[in-house]
Amino acid sequence: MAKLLEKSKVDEFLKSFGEDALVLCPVEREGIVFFDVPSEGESITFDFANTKNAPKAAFFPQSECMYKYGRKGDVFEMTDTGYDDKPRVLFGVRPCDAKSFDILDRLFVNKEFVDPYYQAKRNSSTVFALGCSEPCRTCFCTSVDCGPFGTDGADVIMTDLGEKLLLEPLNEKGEKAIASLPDAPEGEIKKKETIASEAEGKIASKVDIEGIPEKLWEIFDHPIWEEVAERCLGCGACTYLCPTCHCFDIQDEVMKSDGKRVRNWDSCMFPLFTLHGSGHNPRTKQGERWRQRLQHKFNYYVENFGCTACVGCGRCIVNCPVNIDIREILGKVKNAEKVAVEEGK
Amino acid sequence: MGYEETTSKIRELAKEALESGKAEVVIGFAEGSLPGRYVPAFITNAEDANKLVWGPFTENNLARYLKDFKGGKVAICAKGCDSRSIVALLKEKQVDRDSLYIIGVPCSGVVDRTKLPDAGFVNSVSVNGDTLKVKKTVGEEDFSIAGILRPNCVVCEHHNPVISDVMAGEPVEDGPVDARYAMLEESEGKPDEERWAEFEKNTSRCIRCYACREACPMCYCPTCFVDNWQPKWIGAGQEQSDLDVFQIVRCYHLAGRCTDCGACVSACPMNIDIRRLLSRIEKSVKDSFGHEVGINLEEPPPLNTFSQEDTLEQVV
Amino acid sequence: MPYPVRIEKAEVATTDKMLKTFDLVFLDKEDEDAFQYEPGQFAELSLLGKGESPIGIASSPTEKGFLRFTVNKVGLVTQTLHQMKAGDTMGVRGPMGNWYPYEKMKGGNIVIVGGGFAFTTLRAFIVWLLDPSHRGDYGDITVVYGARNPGLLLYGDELDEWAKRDDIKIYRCIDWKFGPEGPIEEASAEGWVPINMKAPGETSIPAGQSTFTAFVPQMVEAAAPGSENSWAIVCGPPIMIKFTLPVLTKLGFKPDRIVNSLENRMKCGIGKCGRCNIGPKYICKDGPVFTLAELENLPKEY
Repeated sequence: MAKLLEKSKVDEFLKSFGEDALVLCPVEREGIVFFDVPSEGESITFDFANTKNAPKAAFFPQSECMYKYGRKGDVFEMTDTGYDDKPRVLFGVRPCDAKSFDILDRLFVNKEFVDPYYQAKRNSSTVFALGCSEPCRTCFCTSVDCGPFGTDGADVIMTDLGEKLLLEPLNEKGEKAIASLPDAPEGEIKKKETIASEAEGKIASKVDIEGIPEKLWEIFDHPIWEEVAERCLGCGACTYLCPTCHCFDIQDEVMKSDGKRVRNWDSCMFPLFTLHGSGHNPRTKQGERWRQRLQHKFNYYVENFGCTACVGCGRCIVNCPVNIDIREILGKVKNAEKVAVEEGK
Repeated sequence: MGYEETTSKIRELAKEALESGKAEVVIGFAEGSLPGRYVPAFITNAEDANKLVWGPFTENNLARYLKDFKGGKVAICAKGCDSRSIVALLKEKQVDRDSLYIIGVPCSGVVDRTKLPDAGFVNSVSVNGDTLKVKKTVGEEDFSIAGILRPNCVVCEHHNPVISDVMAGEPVEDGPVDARYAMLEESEGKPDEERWAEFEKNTSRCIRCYACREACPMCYCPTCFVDNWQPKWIGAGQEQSDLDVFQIVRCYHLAGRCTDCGACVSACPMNIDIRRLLSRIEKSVKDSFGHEVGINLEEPPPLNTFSQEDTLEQVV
Repeated sequence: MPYPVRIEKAEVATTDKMLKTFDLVFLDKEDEDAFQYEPGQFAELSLLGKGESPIGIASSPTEKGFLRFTVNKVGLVTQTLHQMKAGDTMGVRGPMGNWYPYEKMKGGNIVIVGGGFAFTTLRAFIVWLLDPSHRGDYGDITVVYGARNPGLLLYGDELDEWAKRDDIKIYRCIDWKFGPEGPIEEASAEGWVPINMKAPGETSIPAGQSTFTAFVPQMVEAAAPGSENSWAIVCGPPIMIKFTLPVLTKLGFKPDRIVNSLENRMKCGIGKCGRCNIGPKYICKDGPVFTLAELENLPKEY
């Protein structure tokens, strides 16, 4: 049953989840909108296209302590710091970002191994997606199996109706979460349907990714990769702001005789990412690293988990210091000629 | 000289350089995929010289790419700040003068992207004399180019290249002397805690993507201090102290070498104002050693040389 | 979280001191029981405060009570590990990865080719095969193990013991006094006999001899193990693998019967951190053991 929520009552609604719950929503800080826990004095904003950072940090923080240890004489003692399962409410996640949760779930929580740090947070969270009534020119979500009112990965889908929000539950968790709100009249629901269908048509950027996985196998050794990466700086902006990028590093941080083992985000764009202890690096050129990024997102992930690891949010395009455009590259890949692999290579 | 004329001249010079063998590659700018964005371009065929453009969107410092072309003959379109970076690189023996063909381009400033409407809602950006016409998805907005320049361009003293083999335009008027340090007056006299709090607030947004480092021509260390693990200098996570130390040490490594080109600030996805600390350090170098970055090719880098006249105050 | 272990023994394994063998003992019996592993798997050796290193397990699950690792001194963690001595504690996380496909190999002959310090997991497999409960399931076992000089061969004492057995053929070879045309010096290392370098097929090996001067590929060719109903496991430096594979192919081994163990930079060991992949396969979780046939389907990114 769809519900209605006045925007003026949003703060009250979010507080109703309890003192213990961690609420994350879009907040404006000095001209940039972030998806974060509002600090003292900050409140939710609905005036944004998409947040600068991706909400993946709610389940997969940039820096996370896995366990602690300390030295007592000659012996090390390890302390299990447990898994943070504080209930979280993610309020105002765009459908592309919500879909990223579904994509990441397939890696972090699967039959082979479960990542307990991710799972604890994910299971105790409720995701309220906010549909895009006015999509950006840089969004190409409809080309990657998503849309401005997509519902993957979310528990509730909201529509901005001006002064009010329409909330539609997508599963049992969502239903329970909004049970206390007043029912939405038929008229508002109809409004949503119009907005949603119009929004789909407003997506201006389209990329044809039909057949891309097979194509990527065919052109593994193509010279196109050097061309694609020629201006790439090798920074991590695209990977860190991307909702689906998930590569990480594990480091020890020590202070005298205590320490902790920390998981930090890492980027395949960095030259040191695959550097062996022996000094050998299988990916010395930026073109090879760019190839890895594209292959991972559009080929390997499809093969391993059945979906493309890209939601078409456009953050990488807008934030790249040298305006590398993944849409352009996909177009080049589609048109590239198949390359015969050299014998005995 | 208008941007169109500069563009034609650059294309002409690039074509000539490639055809005559003065260069094997020309590094310049080409149109990006987003409106109002230029991207670094690497032209190797004379026919492709027409891809080169010039305008108020040249936010990257092209001298950053010189390290990728060592050993070959390279032509590079350099604006004022870029040319000073080239001089700094020459002084540090990172580039060979004979392998460079510098196409100097006098610069009237680069537009600050953050002052324009969100890229997601812009259809096109075009230059009309002194005005930037922005066509949004809904409506239009005009901006005076001079009014939305990057902060470092507003205070830039050296609009004209200080070194070049050929010029792609008539020199323009230089800016006021030492205006880059004017921003420091703002924090003059404020208590330390307040200044430190400002600094930490600025750096707390850092996501350690290293766009700033990669965009900077002077950051060319094969292994940056942040990546060193023997010994491990700083953590790679989001501890505020790690974020602070990263910014501080990087700025210190740039002491006496930073030309205030603004490429780092333009590259930063979090809009961190990296120039504040850099300006403070550069001023300190200028006051102590009377040295300004990238002007005098003969002058050795101040922090690499020790002369008998250096006082303890200067060195410490 | 890693299991706590104690170093029982730490011995330098090679004359260049770059390799050290560690025997590790679990501090908790429960952990030891939980750590059920197969030959070919690896574990992350965890030094709290320094980091972790993925190292192949050199002991076989048939050897109870300890885990053996032979570690090359390469970086921060391994350097620190080398400085540690018996009695020190550290951690072990694992077991990880897949293992040598011994189920598939049942009833067949096995040829094991190793070079340098890649022999660690091969030792695990050999000990496992020689265990009375397993030996009967397999045919001939031939082992070719080479290094630059005798001091760089691992597990010398055990190899001597195995050479005396009649249910396994051991060929050890060194190449430091051996050039492409033949022996460089008249006298090779004492006890190490050069292979007769006539045209291939006519090389002969003196009976009862187990130590030779030769390159590994030549040794394999001379030993000429039959490829009928046989499997080959090849572990070693890239150059050794490059030249050994053609020999095996010549002898009739098909790609789906040639097994390799790969290495890449790893961190998590469970296929999540994205570092060690070759194409869609993660070396830590889908490997490190791959057949040549599988590798031919993957991009050559290693």
